[in-house]
Amino acid sequence: MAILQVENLTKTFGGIVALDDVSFEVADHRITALIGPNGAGKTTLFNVVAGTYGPTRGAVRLAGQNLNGLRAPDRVQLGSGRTFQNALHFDNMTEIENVMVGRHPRSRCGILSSAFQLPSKRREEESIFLEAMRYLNLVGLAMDSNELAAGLPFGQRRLVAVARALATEPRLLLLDEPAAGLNTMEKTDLVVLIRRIQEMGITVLLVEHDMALVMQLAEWIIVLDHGRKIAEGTAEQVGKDRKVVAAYLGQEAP
Amino acid sequence: MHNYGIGDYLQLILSGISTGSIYVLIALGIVMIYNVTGVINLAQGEYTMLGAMFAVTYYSWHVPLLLAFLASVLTVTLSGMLIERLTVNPVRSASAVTLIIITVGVSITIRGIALLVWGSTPYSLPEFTGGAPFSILGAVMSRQRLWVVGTAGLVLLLLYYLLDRTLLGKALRACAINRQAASLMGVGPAQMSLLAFALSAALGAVAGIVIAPLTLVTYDMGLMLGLKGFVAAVIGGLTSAPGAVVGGLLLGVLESLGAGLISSGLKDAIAFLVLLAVIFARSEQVVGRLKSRRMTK
Amino acid sequence: MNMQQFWRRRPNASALMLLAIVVGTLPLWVKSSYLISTGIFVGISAILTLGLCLLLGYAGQISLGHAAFYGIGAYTSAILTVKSGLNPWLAILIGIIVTASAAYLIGLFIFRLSGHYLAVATLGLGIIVYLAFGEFGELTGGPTGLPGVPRLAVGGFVFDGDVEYFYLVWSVVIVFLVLSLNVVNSRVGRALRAIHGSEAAADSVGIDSSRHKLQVLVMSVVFASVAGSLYVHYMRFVSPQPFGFTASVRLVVMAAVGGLASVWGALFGAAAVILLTVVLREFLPLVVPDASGEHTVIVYGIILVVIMVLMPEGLTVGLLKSIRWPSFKSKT
Repeated sequence: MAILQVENLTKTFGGIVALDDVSFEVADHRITALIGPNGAGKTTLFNVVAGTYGPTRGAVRLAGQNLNGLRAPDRVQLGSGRTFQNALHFDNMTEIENVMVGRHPRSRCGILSSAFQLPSKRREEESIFLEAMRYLNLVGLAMDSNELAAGLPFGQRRLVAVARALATEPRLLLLDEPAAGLNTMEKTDLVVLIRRIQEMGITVLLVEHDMALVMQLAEWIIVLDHGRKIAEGTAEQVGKDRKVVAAYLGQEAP
Repeated sequence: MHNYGIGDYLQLILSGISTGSIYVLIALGIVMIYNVTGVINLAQGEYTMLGAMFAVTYYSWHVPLLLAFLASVLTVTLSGMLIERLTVNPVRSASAVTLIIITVGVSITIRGIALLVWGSTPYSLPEFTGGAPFSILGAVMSRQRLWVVGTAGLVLLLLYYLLDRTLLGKALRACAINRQAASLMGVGPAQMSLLAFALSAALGAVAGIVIAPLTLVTYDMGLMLGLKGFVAAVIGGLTSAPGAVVGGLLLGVLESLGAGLISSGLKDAIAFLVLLAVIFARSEQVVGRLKSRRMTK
Repeated sequence: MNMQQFWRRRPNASALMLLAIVVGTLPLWVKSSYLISTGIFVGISAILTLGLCLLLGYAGQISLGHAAFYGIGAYTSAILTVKSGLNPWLAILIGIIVTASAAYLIGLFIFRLSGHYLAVATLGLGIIVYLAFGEFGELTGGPTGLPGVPRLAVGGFVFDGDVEYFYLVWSVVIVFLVLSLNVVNSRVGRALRAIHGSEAAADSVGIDSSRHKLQVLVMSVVFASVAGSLYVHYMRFVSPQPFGFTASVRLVVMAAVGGLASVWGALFGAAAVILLTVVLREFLPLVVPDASGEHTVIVYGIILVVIMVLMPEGLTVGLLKSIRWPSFKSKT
């Protein structure tokens, strides 16, 4: 069964075609990687799936439900989580608060019950805090939970972003270049973490440039080039594909 | 209740177009600064007031009117550049809200200084050319109103030439389309921001001088004019220069018709009602097509 | 647990206690009715600034017509009690509903748009509302105003002295301060800060930005409306003058002085600006012989520009950050 179905997706910006009739499925529980040369349309695809902008044509389905017309926050509610290429965005909050924000779609306390400090708010705040701690522990970051996010080293900021996305309890997690800028040791930890996320029953779809990491992790690979899907398959199949090799060689040639 | 003839309507439309020309000039300044720097400049109306005030002052020193006009535009342009260097340039990366607050601060500071320098008494400037008003189909149009429309038209042509035909104009437009890309191409955003403020100040000053003979020149005339210019810019989409032209003329005519046919007390309310209507229409449009939101703040 | 430990572990609760003690004892040793009256105005301004800080500092949205909401509250109270003889408390409630509905309608449309249309829309609204107060004379008393607003009373107790009114106003300040602190330190407060940080990232954790902005706008104008009602029941008179554009700008100055995203800063900003106004009123005529209220506006303008250029987070927060606070950094 496919958790994510992308059907004939086309996205144009003005006259530029960023995605051209792309179709694929992401099978439940399988770590899938989306690769391709720069400008292939990977991040655009993520943004359309996450609801940052709507498709020009085509559809995105999450567990069978058509997401077209749903705004980004509603999609999170339905179980689609994501991280961004340049990691963290809430520098004005502490590490733990960054993850607590991730509990937003799974909690309900509104402005009135917050203002009047109703018992339901106290209970919910406590559980938000405990859950957030749990996710920080999961990514191995529970020590510095009261540090301002702005002061954290790069690798930690990346992990906080993953913990925050996990806190939204996604069924599908989109990771945009999670390994970019990490050192070898941090990359090894990341592989372990992503496998752990898989074991939690979450399907991971990642965009990544680090081929070694992709080959090690991904059970299924989708290759985009110039906004089109040119191949998909296991690491072995994709590695042998003539079009894929050409696309990558073509990019490296001056 | 009197019956309106064709001449009365024409009269209202003509005077609406001349007031609208002023809004066009102010709105163009707002659009230019917004496009090039991302700043919503709420001090735009003050350039208009300064233009009128300096022209009045130079003229009172017995400088010939044409020379007073040019000297005033130059003075205000330099003030605009000075303001940009002092306030916007040092905080280029600040949040939009911070920048708005800064322009509000600049606006009331300029108004306050004007009050100190010129006091609260109203001034006036003579019409550029004397003579009887023209008469068209029963509608009368004073010569000064023709000057207003004519000058605005001339300024538009000059602006079009500058932006479309000169290298400087192309650099400015490149910066408006994509600041980062433009800086990679060797166009400095800092210089372009300075240029945008200079041009906007000049546009505002021209608007203030040509309208001066038709209205009283006071230290606080800029607030309303700036707000109306803003409404005009919003009607046109806030980023489009042709939109600002259409928006300005439309607002001028609507105001004139509303004030003439319904109630003159309503004149200032019309701009605001139009603003609300435009915002309403825009937001319905946004919901209609799940608007693409920019990724970076 | 000694005092110092309590202070460190519950800074807000401790500061609230300190504030309550200061406010509670102030009339005992300050006998000047001029100072008590100034204290009342500081309290009313603090309520307004608190509301504006929630909107400005936490949601990153700016209202340049906040005095209009203040005015709507004031006029609703005045008109309903003077013209219809309504119970003042009921009138305050109706004022809240009117103001909140107006803000809700505006916000409903504006927050769907990107950019800062709210600044322009509230600026326009502020001017129109101000004009309307002067224009509809039969209802509002026109430019000369509407006298005869009754005093507030609970049962048989009438708030007729300045000291009594001082206590009333500052009780409201403390209640609103507690409400604001509760909101800031909650799921909603975190969502607001997230929106301020980056809307795209807020989207990605399922935060409905427009809904939260709308809620905080409504909360903010409710504060303004209550402040307006408190103002007219103290002055027992209402005219358009205190609700113009200058007043809106002064509120933004108070918020900027206090630190945009700081609940406690709002209190400080309100006090600092009111005291500055008092001082200016004394000394400005020495420099500018024919100085009017408009002249003080220059000072506000310069303060705004200087603070925002040098310390975009606001004066108080900027100053606090420039000092090293060892106890704030230590891990507990």
